[in-house]
Order: sequence, then structure tokens, then C-alpha cells
Amino acid sequence: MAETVRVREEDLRAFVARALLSVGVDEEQARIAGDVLVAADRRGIESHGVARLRWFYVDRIRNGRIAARPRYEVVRERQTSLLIDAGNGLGHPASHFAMSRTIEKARESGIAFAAVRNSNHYGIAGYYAMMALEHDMIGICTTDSAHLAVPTFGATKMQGTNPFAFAIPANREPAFVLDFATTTVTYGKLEVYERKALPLKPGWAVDAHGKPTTDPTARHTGALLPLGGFGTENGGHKGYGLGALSEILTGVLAAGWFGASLTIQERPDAPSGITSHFFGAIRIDTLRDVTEFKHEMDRELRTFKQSAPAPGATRVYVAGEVEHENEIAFRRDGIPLIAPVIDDLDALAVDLGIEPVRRIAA
Amino acid sequence: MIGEAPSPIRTHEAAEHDFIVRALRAVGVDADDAADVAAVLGAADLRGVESHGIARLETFYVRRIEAGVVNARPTYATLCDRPTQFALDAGNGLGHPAGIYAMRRAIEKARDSGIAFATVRNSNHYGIAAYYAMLALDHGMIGLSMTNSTHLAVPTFGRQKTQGTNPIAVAIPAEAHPPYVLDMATTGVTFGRLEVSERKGKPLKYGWAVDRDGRETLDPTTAMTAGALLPLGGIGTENGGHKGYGLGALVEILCGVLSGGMFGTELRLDERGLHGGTVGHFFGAFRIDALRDGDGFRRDLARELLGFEASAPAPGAERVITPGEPERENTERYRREGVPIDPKVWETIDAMADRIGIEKLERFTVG
Repeated sequence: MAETVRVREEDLRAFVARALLSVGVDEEQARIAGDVLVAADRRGIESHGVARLRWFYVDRIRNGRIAARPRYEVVRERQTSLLIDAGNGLGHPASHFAMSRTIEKARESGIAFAAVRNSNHYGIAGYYAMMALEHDMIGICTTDSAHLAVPTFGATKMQGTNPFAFAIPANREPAFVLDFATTTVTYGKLEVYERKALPLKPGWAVDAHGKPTTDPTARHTGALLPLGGFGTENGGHKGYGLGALSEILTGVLAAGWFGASLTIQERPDAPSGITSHFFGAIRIDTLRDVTEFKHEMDRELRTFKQSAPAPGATRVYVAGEVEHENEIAFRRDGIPLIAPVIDDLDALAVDLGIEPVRRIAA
Repeated sequence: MIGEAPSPIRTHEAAEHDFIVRALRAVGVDADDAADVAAVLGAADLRGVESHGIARLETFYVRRIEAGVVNARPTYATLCDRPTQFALDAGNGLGHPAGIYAMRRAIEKARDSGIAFATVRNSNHYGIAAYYAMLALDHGMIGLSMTNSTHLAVPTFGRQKTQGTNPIAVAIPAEAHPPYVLDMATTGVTFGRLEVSERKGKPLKYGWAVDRDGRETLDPTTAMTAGALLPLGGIGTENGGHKGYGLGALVEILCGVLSGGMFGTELRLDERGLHGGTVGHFFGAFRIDALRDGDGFRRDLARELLGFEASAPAPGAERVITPGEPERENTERYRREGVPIDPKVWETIDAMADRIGIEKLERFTVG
């Protein structure tokens, strides 16, 4: 078994593209999917990076669940809006396309939004929101997903981890990038706790009957709790409300899948094309001077960071700052891939008959 | 108040409306603006959000106008007026008429353009965020409303307050089902919730508040006098406190920074103090038929919401509720049975009526 290795982002991107090309994805789409997955690893969000390449994407293309060469259909288009059917292709290129079009439309109109249906997992939500930054726009994005969480007071799963992402540019400070699941923790966190046989924290999960549990195996028969935890005492109804909002803006608004039809188990042979996304972009310079705005953003973000730290804490961060610092470190030192991930990618390379990921020489 | 049985001393919706108008007229607010404030405060009381209703009439609005810190007759300035964007300087007037005006402009613009948003700066407390988002419902649109506010909450890992309870409201129309109406503070609980705990002599819950050093406290008085609220998700990051903090910061950025209004250390003020023009708002409206057939959407949304409501309840729970449902049920009930007003609030509004020389609010007692 291999140790943790470090790889350059361009080498990792090239590997993802090779893998997807070898199963029939076209070059442009493979490149975009590689860019999104590697962005997750580079930002330290390992759960959404190349660790998912085989299981979420390659296997599903090989077994015919996800279309390798989808045909996109623009179902409705207005000056400020767009609805796209992604033809059951990979979520990343479809989302990249939708967000690019949204940004173009916002450049003309000041603000625009888009929904995408018949799509699949798209990786980290933050990626698409951040596409707005270089255009001096505010980016917004959310996606629905297979149901893993109970609603407040409920015992059956009714929503996914349904993340929202918002990106707002600043001047010298890194951009404000909020990217968060509307559940307290993600499914990946439960996997980690199970692996380490650690009890879960209260507020994370319920058992099969909807009762709060700290059992590390809860993910098999139980469910996640919305942000805010069990009941309403700590605002669980707010997390539930946000999760529902995500599914309404995506599945319902895009006329895609929603409700009970999303209550399925995540497996390679599970139905695909079930995912819907929502994107928005807001132009700043039509509202006010953008240079001044970005200077004020610096001042605002520094105000947060200058809040005196609480006991036991060393500093206050703003949204996206931890990930930004990971990017700086991993671009310098290479992206770390833990043994199970690099082993899996190596095995995948053998399966697909492609060159393995190139490591940085020790 | 939250967590308490509704007061048996009631008034009628129309009587409350007229009383609020009388009070504001007495301190120089014009009739239309006074009616806007009455509509928003009345809606809060009807929805059972008593902390944001007539209970605040004197301290937040009447007194601040009397003291000259909020402008009774503001002059609005339009800062930006484009097909999809509108920005207003509210001239340090009351937040409710400014909010209604800006949201209506956003709705008009969205009718032509598909989507529009509006910012407001140099404004004041605007009551419940949901009121403005819900204005979109009559037009078959999705409505969005947010406001920043005086700083009451610490950021994750911090002990100095950097944000208010900064609520977010979203309203979405359904067919043959009440609309989806989410209206949530981005803190774990509101300041009003601490007041209730103090009044009842009950300890707080973990995840609600910290003391002056940033340590969790269960003592309501400590939290209210020297401490601060925690973001939704509680202390640290373990239960997602950084998410509530991030959402609160988002609201502060859209309402304070984007609007060109006050933000950051400028909002470190006493919630109950005399200050004006510190608040900014953000509104949005979008047409559903910009993306798909509106009727189909509203039917699908009803199916979606019924799906939640039909899901099996957890042990000890009666039913699963969708966002906005308890408030809608309160509204129906209080329209029928009268609007409950807390006995302590009755004392203050009666005293205020005497003081400013207006007719008192009519009352009746139930049960």
C-alpha cells in the first residue's frame, strides 16, 4: 500500500481528463470535469475531489448510467434567464456551461439566473459561484442531491445535503466564498467517524426511527440532520428550510426530479439524471463603483478577522479563507492524496489502461 | 412571545392598524408611510412574531422619531435605476415604507426583465423580513428580503460582535397550498428569545450565546448585558456554526456593503439606543415563467410541500411542518380570535398613548 503522495494540480487534472476520455467523454468536457474535481482537492475539500472519480463518474459512465456524450437542450431562454436540460451528462461541464451563460447574460442585463435539470453530481458548489469573481460579479449556486437528511420533526429522509455557494469579490483580501451543506455535517463526515469508530456529535444524525443518535454507524440505517440539529431549539428548522429552498430552486424550478423521487440510495447503479442545479450572477459595477466596492469588502472582511479570538481559538476566519490558504500551500507543495485515494486512482489507471497519476519526486 | 401561550388580552387587526397609524401621525409621519409601518407591524403580530410587532412601536420607531434620530419625513434618493437593478437612499426614514417601496420597484422591474433586485441604505429597522418577500407572491413571483442590523452576534472563533441577527426571507408561491415562506435569523436564536428566558428565569440552551470572553453561557442576563448571540450552528465549527456566521456575513455584505451603507464597526451600536440610518436592506424578485410554466411550477411546489408534510413524524413529534406554516395558521386564528398582545406591551402602549395624546388601542379578553 502506498503512503500519502503529493501531486501537481496540472498532473492530477491531466489524469482525470485521461480517465474520462478513455470512457468516451469528449475532450472539452473531460477537461472541465478535471478542473472542478482538482479545484476541490486543491482547496482541501477532499471529499468532493478525485476521491469520487471512479465511483461517482467513471463507473457510472461505464455502466451507461451517465451519458458520456450528452446533448444539451436550451429549454427556455430569456434575456435574464436560461433553463437547460443537461442530457444526463456529467454535472460539471453542464454547470460550467450554464454558469458561463449566466455570467454573459448578467453582463448584458445586470443580473441573470439559470436552472439545469437532467444532470448529475457537479462537485463543489463553490467552483461555479467563483466563476463570477473574475468578472467582478457576485456568483450564486445551489444543487439538490439524493436524499440523506430528515426534515425537522420527521423520521424519513426528504432532502439531500443541498449546498449553497456565494462568491463575492474583494480587492486585496481573498474573495468571500461561502460554500456550505444545509445539513449540519456531510455524509463524508459520518464515513470518517465510522472508520475511526468515534461517536458522532449530538445534532448530526438520527437513527432509523428519527431519534437522535451518536452511533458511528448511523449512516447505514439513519439519516443526517439539517443545520441546527434536532427539533427547533437550535434552529434545525432553518437548516431544513434552506435545504428545502435548494430543492425548490433546482428540482422544482427546473422541472426536474424532486420530492420522493430523490429518495434513492447513492450507488453506481442508481438512477442518474436526477440532479438539478441553480445559478445566478449579479453585476456590481452597474449598481455602484466596483473598485470602491472591493475596497469596502476588504474593510468589511478585515473587521470580521479582527474580532478578538475566543478562548482556545487563535484567529477568526472569513468564509473561503481556509480554502484559499490551502490553495496557496498545495500549489506550492503539491496536493496531498492519502493512501486509499492514490491506491484507488492507480487501480483505476490499470483498469482503464491509462498512465497513472504522476507524483512529485520525493 | 416565543415559547409562551398567547396573551388573552386581544385587539382586532383593524384596530391595531389604526392605532399604529395614529401614533406615527402624532409624531409627524405622513399617512401613507404610517400605513406601511402599520401593515408590517400588524403582520408580525398576526403571524405570532410578537417580538417584531407593536411591541417595538414606541422604542424602535416613535421614540427615535421624537428624538430626531429617525427622520419622520425623509427624502428618498434613487442611486441606481436600471432594468434589473434599483438602489435607494432612504434618507434615514422608517424602514418599512422604504422597504415596501424598494421591493415594489424590484417586482415591477422583474415583471419586465424576469429578475431584479433592489438595495436600500440609510434606512432603519424594517420589522419582519418575510413581509417584503411575500409581496412577490401576489405577482406569482419568488421574493427575497434581507436586512442587516446592529451587531449582536460573534463570528465563529471570535468574541467581539461582528454581525446582527441578519435575517433572510424567501417566499415562493404554490397552488392549492400555502406558499413556502422561510424567514430566519442567521443566529441560533434571536435576542428576543434571550429576553423570554430571562423573564421566565430559565437557563439558555447550549449553542445560543456567549459571555464577554466568548465562552458559552447559559445565563440569559450575562448573555444580554455583556455577551453575544452565537451564529446558527452554535459555537465553533462542530455543528456548523461557521455556516450561520457565513450567512450572517453574506447578509451584512449585501445590505451594508453592496448598498453603499453602513457596515463593519459602524454597526457596533446598542440595539435599544437612539441611532438612525444605520440599516441597509436587500430585496429580490423573480418571475417563475422566466424558467418554466408558472402553473406547472406552482402545482409541483404544492406536491413538494405536501411530500414534506406527509413524511412520518419523529418520536414525540406530531407532524412535519413546512416553512411559513405555523405563521400562516397563527394569522388565520388571530384574525378570527383577535390579535394577542402581551400584558407588558399593553402597559407600554397605553402609557405611550397617554403621553403622545392619542386614543388608546381597544382591547378585549378571551378565554
